[in-house]
Amino acid sequence: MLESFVKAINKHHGFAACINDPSTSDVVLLCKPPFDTALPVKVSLGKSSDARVKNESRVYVHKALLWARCPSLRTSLSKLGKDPNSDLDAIDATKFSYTVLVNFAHYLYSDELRCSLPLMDELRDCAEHFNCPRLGAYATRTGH
Amino acid sequence: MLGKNVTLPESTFKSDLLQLINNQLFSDVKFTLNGSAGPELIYAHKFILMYRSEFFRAMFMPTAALHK
Repeated sequence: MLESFVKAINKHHGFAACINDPSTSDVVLLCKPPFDTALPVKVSLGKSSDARVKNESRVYVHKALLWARCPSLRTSLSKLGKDPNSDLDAIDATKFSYTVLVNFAHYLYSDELRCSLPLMDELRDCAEHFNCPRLGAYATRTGH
Repeated sequence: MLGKNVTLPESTFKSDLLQLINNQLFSDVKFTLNGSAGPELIYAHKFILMYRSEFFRAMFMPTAALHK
């Protein structure tokens, strides 16, 4: 029964579909701000623009998955902060960008790497920061 | 070319996830089984059940199941 459970997980790319689902998430990874807000930014949008501002300041994840997949995050789970924008607990990962943290979460949830080449160095740093040697080796192998 | 020679440590995905089965830590739902030796509890996680089973998706989030 456990074997079929694991086969089913692999077939569906693990649990990657659960990432960034605020309705089931119980913890967020707080990301580096998407751009330097210290600089004045003027944005001009045409009348027909459908530009949307995505909330790329946090990645919604699940404590159980983090606990199971990443030993160094177990420590973080024992001293959580609070997300200033919600009632959820938060882990400070503001050294890393939103895109890299989504890819880091994707690896934890699926055991697969889907990062694009320009991000490999930052992903490798992220793997080192969170002590995930397999992800680090994966990123090194893919990035060269 | 150096990266091609990097040895990938063996995956722990399977054993990592198996730790979650019947693990009370961070569990948010439990099954109660009525066995001959009395009630038995099995601890689980709603988000895993929801993403793996239409049945549980409908149970925990009826509106989402309708839209799917």
